[in-house]
Amino acid sequence: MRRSDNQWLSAAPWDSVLTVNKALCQAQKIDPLNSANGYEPARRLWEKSLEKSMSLPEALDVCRDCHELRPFTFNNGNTFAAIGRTLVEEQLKSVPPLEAQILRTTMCHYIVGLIDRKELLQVLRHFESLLNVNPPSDRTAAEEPARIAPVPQQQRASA
Amino acid sequence: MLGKIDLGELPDYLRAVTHRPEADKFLRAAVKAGLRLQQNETAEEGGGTPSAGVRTLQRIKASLRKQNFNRKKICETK
Repeated sequence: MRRSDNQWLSAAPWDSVLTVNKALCQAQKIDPLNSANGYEPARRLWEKSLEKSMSLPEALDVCRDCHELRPFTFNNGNTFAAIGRTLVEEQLKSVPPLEAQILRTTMCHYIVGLIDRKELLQVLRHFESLLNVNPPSDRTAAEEPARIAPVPQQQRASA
Repeated sequence: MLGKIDLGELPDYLRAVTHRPEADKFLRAAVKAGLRLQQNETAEEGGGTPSAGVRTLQRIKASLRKQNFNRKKICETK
């Protein structure tokens, strides 16, 4: 396990994903329906990744992959983008508002497939100095920038 | 009076909130973020209340239209 990895998805069990989708559908006055093909694979992928320690780009990959599986009939993009951007909300509190907004938008665009991984990593690398980043301990970590450090509370819990 | 609470009798959502306060906080933030994304989407599609950026663009557009109209009027009178 890399020093800078974190259990990004642990605060968001699959039930939370369902609740977010339900809330978004209710706001549009539509029934929150699940898709017959994508629901089970997406749920399995999410639950498998829930307690895994991973880097931020890897956690965003899970959101992106689940979005691609289209588990819901409506609001797939908004559901996973909302979950993804909320994962880093604590860390973004220490970043200036404009830069935080750029990071949020980039992450949302990555999750819904509007930009690719290369672009995501470029943006994360650009803001690396603003984020509370742990120094990379190996070559792999150096290639993947912006491994945002876990929030202090989680650091204490894992220690 | 509250006696011993049987956890098996608690509804699922209550159990989740009781045992995972951080998940509840996360959930509220995620729903808020999702609704904001939804509003932005609606504004971009032209429905609902436009965001501040869209309103600024609409104001600039209206101002340009007015300028062009006035210029045309002046040309016609000449």
